[in-house]
Amino acid sequence: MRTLLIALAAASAAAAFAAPPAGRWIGEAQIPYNDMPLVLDLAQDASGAWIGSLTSPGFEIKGAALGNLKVAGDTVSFDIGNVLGAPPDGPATFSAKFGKDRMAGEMRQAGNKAPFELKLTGTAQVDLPPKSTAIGRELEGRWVGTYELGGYPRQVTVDLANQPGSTAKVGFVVVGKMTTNVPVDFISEKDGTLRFESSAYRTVFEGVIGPGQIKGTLVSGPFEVPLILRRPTEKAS
Amino acid sequence: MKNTKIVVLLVAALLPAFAAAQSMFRGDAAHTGVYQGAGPREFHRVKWAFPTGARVVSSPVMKDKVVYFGSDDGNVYAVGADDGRQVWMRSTRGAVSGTPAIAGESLYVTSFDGSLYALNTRNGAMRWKFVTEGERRFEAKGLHGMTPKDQTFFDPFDIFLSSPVVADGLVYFASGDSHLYAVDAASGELKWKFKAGDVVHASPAYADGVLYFGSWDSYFYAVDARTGQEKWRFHGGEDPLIHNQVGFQSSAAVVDGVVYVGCRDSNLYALDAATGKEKWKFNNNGSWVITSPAVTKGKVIFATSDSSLYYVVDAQTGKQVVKQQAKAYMFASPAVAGGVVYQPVLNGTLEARDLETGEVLWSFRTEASKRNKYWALTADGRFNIPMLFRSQAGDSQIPTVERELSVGSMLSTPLVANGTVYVGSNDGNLYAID
Repeated sequence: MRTLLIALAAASAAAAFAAPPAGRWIGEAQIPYNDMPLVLDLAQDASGAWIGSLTSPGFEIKGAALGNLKVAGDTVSFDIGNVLGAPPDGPATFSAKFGKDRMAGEMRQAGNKAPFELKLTGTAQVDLPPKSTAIGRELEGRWVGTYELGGYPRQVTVDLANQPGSTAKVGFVVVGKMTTNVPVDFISEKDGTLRFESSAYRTVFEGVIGPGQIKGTLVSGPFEVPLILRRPTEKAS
Repeated sequence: MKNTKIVVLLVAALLPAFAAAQSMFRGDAAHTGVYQGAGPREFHRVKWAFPTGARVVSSPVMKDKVVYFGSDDGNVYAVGADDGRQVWMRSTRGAVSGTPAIAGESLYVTSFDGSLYALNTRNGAMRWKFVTEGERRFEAKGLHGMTPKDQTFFDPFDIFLSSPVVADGLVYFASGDSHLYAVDAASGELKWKFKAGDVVHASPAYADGVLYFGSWDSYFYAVDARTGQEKWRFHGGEDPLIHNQVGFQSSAAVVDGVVYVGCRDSNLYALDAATGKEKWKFNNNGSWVITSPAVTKGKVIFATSDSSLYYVVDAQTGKQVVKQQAKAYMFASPAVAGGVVYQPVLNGTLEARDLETGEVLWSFRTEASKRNKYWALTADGRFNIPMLFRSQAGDSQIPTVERELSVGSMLSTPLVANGTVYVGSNDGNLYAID
């Protein structure tokens, strides 16, 4: 990983001036009464495709992967997925014109618009998004559990399955007084631990895989509750 | 002569309870939220805006064409109802986040300095001050899921102070020190106090010699107004894990022997006023009912927080009559006048809705809401959740609430009088709209 970053950095260093807009760009979006700091890293991978990430200190955004990244002439545009809201309010989008060491454009989020300005400050340090992995066959299928939050019980159903491309997919449904289908955009099984995340819901489950159960915690925003997933034929807790 | 004296004495005794249609929280001692006469069915103009030094959570009351209210700048204000000019201002040592009550020529109001003040309505001079055991906000370990979970956090949503109600020569009010107090209206002498299990910031409603109020201890109480003895108590929901779904912040309305009150356990309850027995409840799927219900013509009007829903339900059965989706959370209470319901919203707007259909007739949006500081709102006026809840850090809800309320949020309950609506805003203004 470190090597990859160094390689990317080295490649970006060479590209920063040779192939604009590669590099690290720092500045602010002028949100009313509260400028939003932006650290934008743009680079080209080995195939020449543009990759990038966005960090915003104070807004709890670190290394958000850029989606729909397009560089054409002296313009660049991208979004940051569900990081600042899922549809219909998201994704937050950015579009700008860049010069040798300046970039200026517009940020849009939830129908709001704000100008932003960035300065080229150095080489890119792109945060590569974690890649989902496949899971063991024994984990495939349905898991259920319950937890209590705010005085009300919630029923959790998790469907795990491998899919082509050596990654797994997750169906994650929480039923309280309402039914919520939680979109999962990352899953991994590593060292006996299963983890899946929903960036849109700021929700993470992480649990230790044991005989017939996955014992872990569910973190959703500021809430953290214990959650044990079991096969539906067994008693869930 | 003897009979004349008796009549005069009777009238005098009745005055504090009945001469106060617009002079206490929710319009009357039973807190029905219904005002005489009509308010504007169409929006014409902001007649005037009176600026104070901080947010106006307090709800205005009126007597003799003077509007009285408090501000979180620590002052009590008297302002001309017609011209919006200051008549007098009186300082306290804490935010005045409750609503004054007026009886005769005295104004009674609570302050976050932990005192109940009795002021002269003509000039704001202090008649007496009653000091409680100390004001505080609701607090709990791991409140609302904040971490570390063993840390005690105060509740940033515990915004309102208890507003006094005046009846039979006594002033009744509650406090963060967990007590309901009865104080002599003329002298400020303590008559009795009743201890609940936790903070009481709801305003007691008075009907037929009984006081009705709820506490953050999860109980709703009925207390004899003469003796301070408990008549009954009703147990609302509990939430021992994160204390989110517990407590009565809403103030009750009492009509025709039934008590209507919202609860943080997400229910609106209808309780028998004589026994405390539950007649019905209306559940709101985890969404707080902080608004104090208005009751008129067999209907109960209330609104919710997170689900941002406006409801009218049947007073007898609790069955839904009207349901309308609003744009943002509602903590302030609906005021009814002449077939129109005035409902303040936390996104910095005041909505006027038709009582029968719930349709929005007009809305007024503050300049602070239009400025949309921090992008606290989406472009169409809903709360912009990702920009509000920026941090996973445990106590991040406190700045989150500050951002939420930065858009001129309306926490003040409207007063309707003489065809005009008076309402406070977090932008620091009291508005008169006709």
